[in-house]
Amino acid sequence: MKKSRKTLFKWVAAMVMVAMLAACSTKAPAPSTNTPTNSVGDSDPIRLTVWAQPSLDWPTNTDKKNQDLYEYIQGEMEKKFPGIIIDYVGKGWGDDLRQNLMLAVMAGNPPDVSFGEDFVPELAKLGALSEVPADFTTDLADGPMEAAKFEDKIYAVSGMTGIFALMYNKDVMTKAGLNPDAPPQTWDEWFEMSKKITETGKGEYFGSVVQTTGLGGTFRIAPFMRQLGGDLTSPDSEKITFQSPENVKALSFLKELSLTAPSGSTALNDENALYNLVHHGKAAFGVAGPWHISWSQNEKCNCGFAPLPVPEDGERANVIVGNTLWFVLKQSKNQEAGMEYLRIIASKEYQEKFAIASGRMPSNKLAIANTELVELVPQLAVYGEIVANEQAGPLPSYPKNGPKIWEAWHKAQESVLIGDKSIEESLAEAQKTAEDLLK
Amino acid sequence: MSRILNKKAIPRETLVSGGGSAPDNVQSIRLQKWMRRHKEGIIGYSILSPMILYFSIFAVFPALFVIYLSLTEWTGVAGLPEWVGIKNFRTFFTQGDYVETLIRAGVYGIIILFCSLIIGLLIALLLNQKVFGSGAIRTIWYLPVLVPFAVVAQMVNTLLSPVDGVVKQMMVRFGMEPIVFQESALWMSFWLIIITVWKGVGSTVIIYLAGLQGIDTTLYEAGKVDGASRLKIFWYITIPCLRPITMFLLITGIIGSFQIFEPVQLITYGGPHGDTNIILYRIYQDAFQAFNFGMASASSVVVLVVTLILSVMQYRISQRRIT
Repeated sequence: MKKSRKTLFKWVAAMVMVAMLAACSTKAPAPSTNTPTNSVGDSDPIRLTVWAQPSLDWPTNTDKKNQDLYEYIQGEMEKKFPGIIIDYVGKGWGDDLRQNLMLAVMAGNPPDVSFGEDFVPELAKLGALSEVPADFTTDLADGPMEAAKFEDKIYAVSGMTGIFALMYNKDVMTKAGLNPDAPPQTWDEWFEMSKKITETGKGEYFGSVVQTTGLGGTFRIAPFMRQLGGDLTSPDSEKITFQSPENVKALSFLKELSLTAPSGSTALNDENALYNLVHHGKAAFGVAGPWHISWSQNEKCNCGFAPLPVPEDGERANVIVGNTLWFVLKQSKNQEAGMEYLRIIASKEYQEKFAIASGRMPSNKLAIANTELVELVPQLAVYGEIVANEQAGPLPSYPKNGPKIWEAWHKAQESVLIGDKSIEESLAEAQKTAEDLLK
Repeated sequence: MSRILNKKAIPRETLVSGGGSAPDNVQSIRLQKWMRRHKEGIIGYSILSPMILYFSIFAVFPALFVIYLSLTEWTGVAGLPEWVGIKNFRTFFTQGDYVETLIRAGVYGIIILFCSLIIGLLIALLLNQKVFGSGAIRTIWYLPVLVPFAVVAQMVNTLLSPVDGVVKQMMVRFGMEPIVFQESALWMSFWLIIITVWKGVGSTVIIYLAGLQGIDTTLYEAGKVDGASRLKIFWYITIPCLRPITMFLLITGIIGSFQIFEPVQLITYGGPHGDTNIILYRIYQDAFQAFNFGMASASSVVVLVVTLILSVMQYRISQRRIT
């Protein structure tokens, strides 16, 4: 009876969704006509749908570096599943990807495998993800894997990870009469340098870019709160701590720093446009993850990377970012093949190849230890040093009303860094909203 | 005539014994009589049935389902909706920014509606003049209506970009202090209204133009004979004659005012810090970002009730004035 009610609801929901989303839905993946099994040796090859990009670009890019990674994965998969066909589908990243995944799960046609960053616990809580065998993750670093767990069970593997450093444009520093090989080490030094660069630049170039909006802004604010011992929640994620004095102090510093930002840049929603200001010599400093290494090189920036400056009374701390988590959807008919795919992504071999090709940080500890990698991408040594010496964890995930709690925080961070509202008042308001939502 | 024909249509076999038992025959006769009596209705409903079915599936049923969902808590992904009574409605009126976004949508809607009506009427009056190329000019005015909002948003974002936007560069060129529009709720509200009016005014123009062309020219001639000035003719002939059209535009405009979505979704994102967020965008955020279908449905029901009340009020007032 309960099952039939559930089925009825699924139908009802599907009908309503079709009616409501007819005009605004993104292109839905074509339903698979074959229902492949997972048994090795079956006559029909398995078709695995992957909503992710395990290489530098999508498979349509015929660049050799790009194709090598796809060929490697295909070769490894074929060992167990001869003739397997892997369809790679782009469904965005961040909120777009989360939204697409939720809708696909709701409609009953999600991919077999997908990646994501900060919503694994949310999907696991809804029962949408398959549990991952613990032995897949023995070589993966603990920090990145924290975000892959829900109630102590593992639901994803980390394909690559990241942490924040300070990116500095050496040419801008030179123009401002500063030593380009001596980036700031403390908050005071950073602010003073930014101020000097802005004054010298006379509107041509500026001190620092400060990302203020959305999740990207939160990621870049969190390390500074953590350096002072603050955070968005208590360590057990049960208590909201938005309005802690440490957070107020961190936001006060960033607000002051934003006065040295290029005119109008604090209102930018577009991350590409914001960091290109540093890459193109319009600003000297920005908080950057390891993906900025290759990005800044592609933009021909004479950029350096250093650990984030620390406040006088604080200590080094950071946030796990760019943490690509791969998971298998529970509704997938190709569980075995999906899990094999995850095993390959978590392996030292794949992560080494990917890191060498992309300059991104592997999560596999054996791959990180590879000396060849640091020789090929020397800037990664800075990030390696940060990983070794800084306390870092992912952003918190809330057990209830997560998206709305994040919305309350984003509103506060924006009204503090862009608007004129007092920091204490904004944080207190967000704290109250979040506490009500968590009840 | 039809009765006689229908009588003739009754097969004789059914009226005599041998075609079945007596009660069966009686039932069959009754059914045929009933069919005959309701023939027109049956034909009418048969013709209408596809439309009724379509309307039920895509309008009535979703509306009832939304009313039901508004009394539940449901993510849409796992489990069944959980009955919570009026909790979502209490949340709407006591927590968060729901009421604020509803009022803001109303304020934006009223401003947009009146700007559209006034500008639309003025343009329609101009386009009603017999000038060379009037057809082409009318088409040009209607073009923004045909441009997808995604394209408009891209254009506006390029114009208003805080770093290298066209407007900013022009201001700098003219020696003015550049304005970062995205940091100001007032400026973003201003642009939101301007863009929506510009995008939609073409429809208002076309409807007013049709209305103007439908006014009996003898009324104008009579006015001229009586020595009325152009302003008086406009005020005492044109405006009253356009009243039904204005009422139609007002009613549809009020309903439309609560449906502003694209400029917020694509240009302001509800910002800065939520100050341009409006009820429909809030519903979208609840439904498809927070996956809180109960709350999204409750907000939809509130919007439905408000729109219904306003439309009925508007209709009653217009009926009274016309009679």
